[in-house]
Amino acid sequence: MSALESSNEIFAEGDQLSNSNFQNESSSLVTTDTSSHSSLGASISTCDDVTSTTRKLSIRSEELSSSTDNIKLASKSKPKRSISLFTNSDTQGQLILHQRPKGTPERSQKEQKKRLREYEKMVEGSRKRDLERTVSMREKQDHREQEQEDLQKLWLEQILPQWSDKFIHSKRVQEAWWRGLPPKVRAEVWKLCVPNELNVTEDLYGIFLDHAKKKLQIHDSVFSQKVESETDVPLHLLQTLKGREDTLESIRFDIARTFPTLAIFNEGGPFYEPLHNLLGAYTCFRPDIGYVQGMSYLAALLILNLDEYDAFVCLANLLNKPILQTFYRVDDRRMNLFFLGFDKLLHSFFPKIAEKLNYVGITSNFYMLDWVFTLFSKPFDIEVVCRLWDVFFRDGELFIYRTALGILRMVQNEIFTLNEFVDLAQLFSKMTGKYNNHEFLFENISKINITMKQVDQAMRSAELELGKTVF
Amino acid sequence: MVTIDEEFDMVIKLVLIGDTGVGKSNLLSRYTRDEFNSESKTTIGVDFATRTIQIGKKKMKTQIWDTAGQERYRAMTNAYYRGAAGALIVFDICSLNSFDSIGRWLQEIREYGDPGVPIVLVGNKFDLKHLRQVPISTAELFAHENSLKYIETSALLNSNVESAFQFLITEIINSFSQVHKDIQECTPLTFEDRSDLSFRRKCCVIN
Repeated sequence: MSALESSNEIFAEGDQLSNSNFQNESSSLVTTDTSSHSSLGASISTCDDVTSTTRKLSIRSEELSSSTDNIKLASKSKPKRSISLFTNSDTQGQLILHQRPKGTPERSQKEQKKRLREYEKMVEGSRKRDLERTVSMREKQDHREQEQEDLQKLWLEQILPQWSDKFIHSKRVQEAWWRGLPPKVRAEVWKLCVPNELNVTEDLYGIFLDHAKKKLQIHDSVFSQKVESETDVPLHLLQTLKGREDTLESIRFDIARTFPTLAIFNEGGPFYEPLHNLLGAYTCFRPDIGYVQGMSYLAALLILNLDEYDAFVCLANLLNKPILQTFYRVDDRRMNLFFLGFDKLLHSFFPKIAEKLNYVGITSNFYMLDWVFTLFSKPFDIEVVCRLWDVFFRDGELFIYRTALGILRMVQNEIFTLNEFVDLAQLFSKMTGKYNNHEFLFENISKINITMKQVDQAMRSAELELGKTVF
Repeated sequence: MVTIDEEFDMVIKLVLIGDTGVGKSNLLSRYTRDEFNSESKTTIGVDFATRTIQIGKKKMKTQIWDTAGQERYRAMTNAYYRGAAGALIVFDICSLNSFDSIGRWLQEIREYGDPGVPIVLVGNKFDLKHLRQVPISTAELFAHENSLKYIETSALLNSNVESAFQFLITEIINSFSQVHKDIQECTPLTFEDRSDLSFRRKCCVIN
């Protein structure tokens, strides 16, 4: 109940805040008001938190669970009424009597008893339902664990030993793959899916890593000199930095800002150094590209699943794929073609969604930029991203289009409800609640039947429209 | 761009620009949600937030575009300047590099933004003044030479963030008022009729 009360307090606080600001209005030319959008958002998310917390409680304690539904109801509609009705079971009868509106006749004793019986029945029913829900959740959990064990066995004992192009395209393997790779085999399968076409050796990695460290030292010493003496940068030193190697410096800004909630990439954290190494070595390996923001997400996901050297091989070869080359070289002509092509695809798959987004002013570049640069790892939680990447490694570029269409299908209700450009743009940049769930996401992706031929057609049509031959 | 629609008396678009890591996203979250997030994610492309403010009797919605700071992204981000009514160019007072870039950012906004767009120069991370690399006098001189207002902020301590945005909005209102002598009497210049769509909304745009 305290959780519910605190949610009421938050509502009250919000009111107070906007009121107090409202009073200040006349004092100056520009006076602030609390953003109605933001404060509403905060209140809603607080209620969601309350609901999820109480849901967790209901699993542990049967007694608490009867109030869970009330809180759920209350957080959506009338919190005050729910508090007075169900705070204390000993006074239930009295409270119900006291709830009689003024001026209405008193209930007879018979009526009163009947109401109390009905109420007790309701509470009992609610308890039973919660118990059933708890049991079914436990069963589901057991089922999931069993499924994971079976999957792992299948991969370790059958798929990996018999790995061949033909075998992995069999229906059975494809179906197992769709469910996501068991963590134990993920590294092995990803490595098999991204062959080392660039022939990166461990020695080569060592050399580039060494370069990166030395060049970063030069960079730092040059700039500290500049600050101390307030003179211009000694150019002869900076000339040792080739191409876009000067981007080495910006890597450190981004490491801790990659999956920040995990905290493992923070300075001093276990993955800070390896992630820095990967990105630094890549910058020196491809000074024509350098470090580009977004790369830290790709490298982070690889370093979480693979050894440092394997992660580097995978990163280098992955970034060599045409679509990622287009983005990471910031080839704006090809990028625009890609966005326009995707807009056309969206229009042919979901004309109403396309029309609504077009009306609000959201073209695909506003969401696809994030999604492609990070291969969906910025908007989703890591477990969702891992499953997406599992299937991306299976299907390649086509899966990017399929996933993007699947996400839009998944959030279509929001798309039709929200009318503000910013609200929609925010929705796409961070998937929350039920949208951050891999089951729900994959259910939607599975509904998208798309072929590379359709993608090519859309891209050709975009090319015609842009009037330039870029491929 | 100043847009007028039914719900709000005015909607203005502001852009936040400046080098990577200077604290643009945290200035935005402090201004729109009164939050500081030491774990904020790298901005890729552009992020958005809005806040509604009151000017006299008018309700104004500010739509803020928080752009990615990396130089490599400039080819993409300069497309976001179009239609902005004002810009905050941000640097980190503890990073001489980020201050050295201001000239380039200024050039970008003047080239790709609307002509005469009001700009405020912001020196952020005022809380780390013991690590200061950019003296106030240097920044003030630069601002003066380029006819910009200069303000130092700390998104962490919530110091001056409000004022930085207020400075900019006041400048916008002033330049807007010069064009339309009285805001209250301003009338829509164009009217977009979107009868082809079911979700119809009145909208007019004043450039």
